[in-house]
Amino acid sequence: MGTQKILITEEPLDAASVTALVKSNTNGGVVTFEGTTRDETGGRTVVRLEYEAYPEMAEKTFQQIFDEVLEQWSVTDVAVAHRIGRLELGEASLIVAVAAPHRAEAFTIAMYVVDRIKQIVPIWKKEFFEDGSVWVGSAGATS
Amino acid sequence: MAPSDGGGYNLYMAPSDRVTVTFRLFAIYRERVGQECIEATLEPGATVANALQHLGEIHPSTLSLMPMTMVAVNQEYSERDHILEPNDEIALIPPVSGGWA
Repeated sequence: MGTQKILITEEPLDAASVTALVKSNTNGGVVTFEGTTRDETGGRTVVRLEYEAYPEMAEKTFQQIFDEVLEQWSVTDVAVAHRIGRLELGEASLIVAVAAPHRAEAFTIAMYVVDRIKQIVPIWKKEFFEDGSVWVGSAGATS
Repeated sequence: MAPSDGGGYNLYMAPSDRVTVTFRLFAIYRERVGQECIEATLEPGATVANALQHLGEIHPSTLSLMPMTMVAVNQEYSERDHILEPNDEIALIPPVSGGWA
């Protein structure tokens, strides 16, 4: 039996505790992705950020991603934590931890989960600049 | 949906045939409309597209957002021709990753 864990919270995220959720003796590799808020977007200076979720659907779509992982890789040890509310620069907005028997799978699945979160999980980010603000996509700071 | 031809009580039956739904608004939709939730009453057989049209009539500031918007009905992504049921929850979901690649 594995661990599938979803956390959506206004509290600061802790990568170590999310990682601990998926660790077990049956797994040979754990990959943890931490997406953090960036101080610049498209050449504009970001001063702070806010995240907003559609919580009920976010939970469902996270679970859908877990189901996809189970179907494709038979891996169940996946945990995600997403922060919402106001964040300062450099804080973690998203943590994804994946444990798998072999490292290659763990890396592949972690990438897959982060990409899918950005595609289907209804969480939005508002970037505040010195002279305005804009709503953009979800949290995964993959670029 | 309630029966529409029970016979003799059309004045009573007709309103109950209409479909009352709740819009959930997030991010830029919430800010433009100034509300998180809106109730709307639509014609029987109304689709997601009809619901969006209705919202656009009440809040024209949302119209320019709609082409890029995904719609979820009861927390499932749905197509524009999906037919709505009474008490459905319709969420307008602006792109979550800046585009739908």
